[in-house]
Amino acid sequence: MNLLVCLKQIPDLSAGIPDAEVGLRFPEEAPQVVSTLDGYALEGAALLQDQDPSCAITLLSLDGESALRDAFSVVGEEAVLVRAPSVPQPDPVAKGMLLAAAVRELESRQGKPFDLILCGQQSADLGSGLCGPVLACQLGRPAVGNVLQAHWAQAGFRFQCQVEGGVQQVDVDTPCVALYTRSDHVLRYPTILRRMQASEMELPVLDAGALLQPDSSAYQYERRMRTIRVFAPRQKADAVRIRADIGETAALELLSLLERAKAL
Amino acid sequence: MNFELTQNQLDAQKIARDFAKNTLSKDILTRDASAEFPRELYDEMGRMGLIGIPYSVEMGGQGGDYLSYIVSLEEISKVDASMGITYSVCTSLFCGVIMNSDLPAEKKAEFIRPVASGKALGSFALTEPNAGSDAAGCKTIAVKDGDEWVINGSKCFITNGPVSDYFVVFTTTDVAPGTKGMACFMVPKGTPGFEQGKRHNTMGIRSAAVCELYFNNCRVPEANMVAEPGKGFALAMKSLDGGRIGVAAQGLGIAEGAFEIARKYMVEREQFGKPIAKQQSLAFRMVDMQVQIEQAKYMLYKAALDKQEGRPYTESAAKAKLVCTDAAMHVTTEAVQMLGGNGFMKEYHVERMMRDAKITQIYEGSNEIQKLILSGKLFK
Repeated sequence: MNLLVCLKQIPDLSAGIPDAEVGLRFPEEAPQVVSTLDGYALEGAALLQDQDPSCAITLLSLDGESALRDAFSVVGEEAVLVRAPSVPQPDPVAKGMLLAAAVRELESRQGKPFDLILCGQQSADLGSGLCGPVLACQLGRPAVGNVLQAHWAQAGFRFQCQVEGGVQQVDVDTPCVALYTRSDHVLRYPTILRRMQASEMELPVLDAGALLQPDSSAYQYERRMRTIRVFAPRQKADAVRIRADIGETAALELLSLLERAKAL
Repeated sequence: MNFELTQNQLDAQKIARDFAKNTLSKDILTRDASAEFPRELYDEMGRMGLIGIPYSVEMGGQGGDYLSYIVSLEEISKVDASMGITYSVCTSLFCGVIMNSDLPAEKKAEFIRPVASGKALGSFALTEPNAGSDAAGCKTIAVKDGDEWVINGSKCFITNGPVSDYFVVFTTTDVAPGTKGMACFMVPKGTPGFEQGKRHNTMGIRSAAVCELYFNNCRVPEANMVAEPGKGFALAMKSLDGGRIGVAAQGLGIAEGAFEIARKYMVEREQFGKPIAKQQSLAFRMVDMQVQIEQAKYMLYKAALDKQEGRPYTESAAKAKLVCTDAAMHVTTEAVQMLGGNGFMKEYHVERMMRDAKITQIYEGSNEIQKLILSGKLFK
């Protein structure tokens, strides 16, 4: 089994400062993390490898060096960094095309397609949910959304998918794309040895811009998506934020506030 | 002099911190109340490689450095001191005894790998009912019979005792009296004649498993001898030097954890129309604790680096243990006071940390013994 996990690097949202114009503004030194749902995709790949230890996992990220190293410290046999200097500030559609170009290159080198490409349903920052479907469309593969878990089932994969009021089982032949959503399978912790290896490893770099066909829409580059306006949630003047780190302490604090407000 | 941690050390610290904050902290009050040892959490630490950080990959470890292990232990202990001592006994004491011994490399690897890889737990069995600070007063005896040694006696206060798979056991022998005949054996769990006894009901570190051990004509092969008669005492003392750096890290972690709880509480708790952090007498006491913690931290890191870089560390380890554990007791007691009536409640954690702190001044060489060691060196 040959898996590929696509990861987006985003700033840690808890470091964001609310901004009426752009929603959240991040200081330059804000820590960089793997986008939340991509983390679930990564755990999905790790679970498949637990089922079949001979399974190989390749990690891929567009400009996300730190995210790649963080992910490699958890699981993976290979990590590839994709750059596209000829495509400045790609929108999610262009990103999907660039990642597809990179995937085609990797598959050409290894002589066979990846059985499964895993990524998050949408990113935690922009949340357009376009990149994964565009990637699948560009590669001509079926994409399964809202994936909670996957199992290898002979010629294909069996996915458990979240639907309104329950879970749906979907069987798909390989190769295919799985778009992961939140589930009980939280990303496992990294290991010390892998963390050291991830810090020191040299990351191969693919110039995806150079790989695109000259007449492709991403190559001609025109933004298909632009943010017109950001609506920040209204701040309540009398809202109280519970800041306790530990659940039990937070619950007691809430209880105390409710008692003071005579809500109980 | 560079006081900054390296990238690898920072990475190990973050991994341990995230695990402690997000996973260890869950159900900690329940574990303290029930005294339940959380095997699955230890297993996860093993999978992550935390247990074997300072040991080579060939030995089942992670090939990291000693200070990376110490900062990880510090982070674990900020949240759960019980898991901290479990961790320290496995990594510093059990594995430390094996690595400090004169065994050939293959034998060391055979004995250390199950614990360093995080797949099993280990214990260090020295203390007896009549041999605590006076470790040389050990009465458990091993007598040679053919190519086996027959052990009779008992041990007490053995951390990880109920859950360990491997024990390094210090005994006298019939070769010579007292420390001149002291030896050390590796005794696996389940060896006929070896029994893990009743679990102790402790004031603190309640979810660390501690018990008595009984040896009744327990036969151990010559191949399991870790230190021959006459070399066991020195091996125990050298291993305890490393163990006390671990306990110092545990104490520092407890102090830091309690300090942070008190600091956050004082910013939010209002009395007389303002946060209690604005009361100068309380704020000054918090500064005293902050400075005490930072002093302790640098003494701990100095001891860890002495060990890591191959310098003698008996003295720096004793100082670190003394300072860090006294800081733990002082800071946790003050933290309870800062939280007032809430500090007396289990839900606010500081009372648990105060109970956990007490034993750090007692075990692995009481603080009085540390002063004995240091005064001996000061006035030799």
